[in-house]
Amino acid sequence: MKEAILTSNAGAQPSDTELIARFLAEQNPHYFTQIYRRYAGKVYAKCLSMLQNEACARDAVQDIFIKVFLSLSRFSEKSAFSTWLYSITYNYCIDLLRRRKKLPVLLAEDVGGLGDAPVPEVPDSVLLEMKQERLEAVLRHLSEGDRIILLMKYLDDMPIKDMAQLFGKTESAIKMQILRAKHRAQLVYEQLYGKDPLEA
Amino acid sequence: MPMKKINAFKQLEEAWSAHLPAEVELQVCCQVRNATAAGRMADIFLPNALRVAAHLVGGGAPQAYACLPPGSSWAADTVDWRRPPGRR
Repeated sequence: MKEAILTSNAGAQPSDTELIARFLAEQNPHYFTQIYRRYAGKVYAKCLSMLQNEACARDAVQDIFIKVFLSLSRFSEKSAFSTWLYSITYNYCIDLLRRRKKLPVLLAEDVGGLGDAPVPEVPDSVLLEMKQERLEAVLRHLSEGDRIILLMKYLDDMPIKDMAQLFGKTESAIKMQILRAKHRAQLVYEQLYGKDPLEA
Repeated sequence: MPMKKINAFKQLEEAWSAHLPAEVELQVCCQVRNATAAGRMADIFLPNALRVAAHLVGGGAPQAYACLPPGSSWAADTVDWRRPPGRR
């Protein structure tokens, strides 16, 4: 079976699973380098957006890939390699933020002071079609929890179930958190640019 | 042909990912190479080392030490764990 995987697609770009199988079978670092080149940029972007510091993001990329290398044999192929890698990335950054700020929870229900007030529905297009530099500024002004949850939702299209598992919350709590994060992003946009993002 | 949806998050990700310095790759790959080499060394030497250690502690068949020359003094003279040291 493994041989079949190794010999398939001889000419084409090998898939992640093929590269992992080859690396585990031959212990040749070249295959790991290929995996690194495929994903390092994306992992760095996620770390940078969560940690908001280039040096920390660089160290995080290094630590995350070493972690991946050490636990590669435990990768079960139940999910895509990218999903597994990104969940390691999110876990690493969330842990780092928690330790740094000594926060027991990252997603508090009342962060931002919205309390129990009804949250208006903000269409996805508000965030998805925002100008790149404006979105960057808005993300910078949001709390870590909001930023992470928006990245999970719109950058990685992560299922609500997986997010709930990662944060140890219920799916409805995560849905509410997304709703609030979107609303807060809209408020930040209005504060920064003085108008509704839909009208911009 | 369907129009590709704009996703500012993905555009931002592309812009950020371009800023990853090449030295990080060098550091990660160097560590992976070293760890892989160490793993190979362990694969080669560890089983024999453990077997020798087990024989030294518990005694056993001297013929198991293929690496020792025949008639080697300590290989033939197996320690009997039931006798206190000094008594033969």
